[in-house]
Amino acid sequence: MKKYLALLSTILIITSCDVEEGPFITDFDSYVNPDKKVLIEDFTGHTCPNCPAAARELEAIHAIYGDQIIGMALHVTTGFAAPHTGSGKYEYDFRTKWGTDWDNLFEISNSGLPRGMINRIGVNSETHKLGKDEWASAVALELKKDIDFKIHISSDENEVTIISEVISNVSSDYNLVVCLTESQVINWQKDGQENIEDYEHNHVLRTVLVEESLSSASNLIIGQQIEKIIAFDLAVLEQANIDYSANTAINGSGNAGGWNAENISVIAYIYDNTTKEIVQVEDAHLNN
Amino acid sequence: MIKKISLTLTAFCITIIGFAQNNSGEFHGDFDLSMQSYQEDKIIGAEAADEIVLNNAYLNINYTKGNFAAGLRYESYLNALADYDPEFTGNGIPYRYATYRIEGLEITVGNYYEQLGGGLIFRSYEEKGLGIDNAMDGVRLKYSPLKGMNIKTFIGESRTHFTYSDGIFRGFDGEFNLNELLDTENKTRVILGSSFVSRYQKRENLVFKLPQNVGAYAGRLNIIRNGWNYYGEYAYKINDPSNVLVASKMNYASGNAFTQSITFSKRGFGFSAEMHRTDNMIFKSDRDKDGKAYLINYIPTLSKPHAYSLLALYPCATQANGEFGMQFDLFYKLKKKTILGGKYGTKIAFNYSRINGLNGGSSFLNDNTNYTPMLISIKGEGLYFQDINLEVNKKINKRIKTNFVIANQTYNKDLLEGHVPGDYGVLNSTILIADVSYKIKKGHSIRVELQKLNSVQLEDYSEHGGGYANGMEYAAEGDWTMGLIEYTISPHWFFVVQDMYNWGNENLEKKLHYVNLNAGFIKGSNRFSIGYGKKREGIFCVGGVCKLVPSSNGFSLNISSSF
Repeated sequence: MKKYLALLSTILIITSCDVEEGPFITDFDSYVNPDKKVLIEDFTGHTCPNCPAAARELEAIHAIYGDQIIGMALHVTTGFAAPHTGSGKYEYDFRTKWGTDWDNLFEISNSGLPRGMINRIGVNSETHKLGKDEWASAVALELKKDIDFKIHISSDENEVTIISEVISNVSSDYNLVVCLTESQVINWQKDGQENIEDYEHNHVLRTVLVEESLSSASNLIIGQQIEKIIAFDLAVLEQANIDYSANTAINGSGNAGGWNAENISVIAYIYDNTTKEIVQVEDAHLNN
Repeated sequence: MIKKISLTLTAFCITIIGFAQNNSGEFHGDFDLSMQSYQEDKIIGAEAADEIVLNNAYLNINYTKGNFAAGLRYESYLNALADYDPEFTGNGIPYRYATYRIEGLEITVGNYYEQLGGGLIFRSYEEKGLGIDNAMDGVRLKYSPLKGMNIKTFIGESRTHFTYSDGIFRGFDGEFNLNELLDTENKTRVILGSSFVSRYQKRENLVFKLPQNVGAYAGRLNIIRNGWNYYGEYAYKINDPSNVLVASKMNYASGNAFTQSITFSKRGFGFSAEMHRTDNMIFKSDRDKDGKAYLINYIPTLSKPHAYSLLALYPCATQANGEFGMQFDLFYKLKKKTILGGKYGTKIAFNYSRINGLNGGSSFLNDNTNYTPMLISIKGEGLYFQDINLEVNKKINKRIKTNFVIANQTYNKDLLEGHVPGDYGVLNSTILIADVSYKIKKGHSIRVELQKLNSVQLEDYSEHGGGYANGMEYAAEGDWTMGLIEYTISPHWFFVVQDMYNWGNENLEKKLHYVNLNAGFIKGSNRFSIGYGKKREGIFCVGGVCKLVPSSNGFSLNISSSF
């Protein structure tokens, strides 16, 4: 018996441990952090002939990664996005004040449309303006990153509540942006040489509800939840866009209304104020 | 699973009873019933039970004859008391065993409890107060081939509620009493021990490497000479990452822990000094599950267990993931018939304990991070818990006995209770206790407890903008007083009235009295008690393992019996 026990214990000690050596990930290429989400900002225009190809690329990436990919279409520039008033087509003005501001800030359309930003990566190194064929690889890298925040959205047609949950201790300066986008907007779009009357425009930026500092605290602590409640009047916001088109936008017409709350989504994202990188993003239907 | 176990056990019982009827073995058993009604009380946050009354009951039956023993435990949760894990539901016989000893070999099949060394790598035990029962189910062998040499090995699964966890454990322990082995009369006794345990759990992660067999080792040394006693144990656990798909949560660092203690005692005097450190030493019976039901090792707390209500209001929960702690105890009895000792002598006990976090947190290793904290760091580390207390026990005369305690405790409520920093902060409490017993006449005695707790907040989270003092998110409980009167008519009756008054609560609606009335009757080995009262939501700990007790308002009935 003594020999049996000694033998048994020796076998146990020798065989009963699996010490793993790095790298610990078995397939880095296919690894995706399931909590990480990516915002693709697609700078586009309804008379931009190559832009629908970028929109299709965005949908293809969405088809691969599902809800981890959030799209936003920003119609910018006078040449590609201004309305063609009186022509019977392209009379709608998809442009917004914020789309134009961000286009100017990040100098996207200077490089030609379509262009996009993937979580606004590379702003400081001037590598943020990506052609559509560069999006997929940039998205794959972004999805491997760890997260510092989770965002929770609850909203209706009068109020949005954003809860930013801190996942790890951070000390950078972050901003919170909350936008409304609309999908299934049927209107004209140039696609190559074709003029498509019933093109479906998705994720179109309609308005920005807030862009402000995430927290006044210099250090955010794991587990902390930062709540932001934004009350709004959808009709007032819609009118503001109409006014922007009519009074401010170059060659604008004021034909920027007709919002359908049934198709509006809330997009909330947090970006690092220093690098401008979007570190987390979330979306939800307006009436959730 | 319950049905399967019950069927097996029914056959088992019939066999045992039949065996017992034909032999002259002995049956022993004990029974315990705890019943509680739950009424809604919105102010204290107590919820009514849909069933009105909840009930836990147990019956242990053990049969012994010579070197053979067998037994079972019937458990009934219809439904489980509110402070129990709701997974305990229904009736069953989850514990049954048979064991026999022959020529130094003990064989146990079925359920058994086991602890290797101090439990740093493995402890299977039952603690009803906490709702913990991680009994093993399998086979265990113990063998003593030589005097002073004890070997045991086991294999089994760990119980979780009415089922068993996925992990299979294989363990071994050897203990060697050198004095007995060498047959020496040396006054210094030396006992060496080493243990090993391994958990097998099938690998089910396509993205990250996962060890299927996670081993843990420990070695211990116990030296005893006259009144001195030294005990030291070191434990090591290999990589044991959780089974998730997020890289930042995959921790491949090994774990380790040590505990050291030295005590000295002689008549009327004793002291002890202890320290321990634990780093990444959570060991679970199922790597995919969380909760105390799945813990399979045990890191005892380094703080004095208190029985007085306000001293135990904020108990210390061991942070197996990472902490460093130390504790010192000093006991002295002032001699009889001296100025300070008086006619009967005076007992004085001083205790100091301090537990803090590890430098920069616990060890972490993955493809992006490789961090190991300093071995020992105290100054500047986040304080988890500190307790400084002095207890004076004095018998005044044949009728009056007294016990007085003064204590100062620091309690990191956010960290120890799993809240977000800034929810409740770090509490510092000064506590005074007076406990006086008076023997009225033969068989009649009265005991009075008066307790007071004054609490202050040590942290400032004003920049986070919480709505309460110092920027806290939630109201502080603040100051408490407590009074208790216990009247005992020996040997059968006792009556207790207790009121805990939270007069310092920052939330004015919660400046409440928590009154409890209890009465009990004891006759022979039967004990009955009934009670009514309100309980505050709080943490209840046994040996550093804690559970959240929800607030409640209702009647209780307890019956216990043994034969």
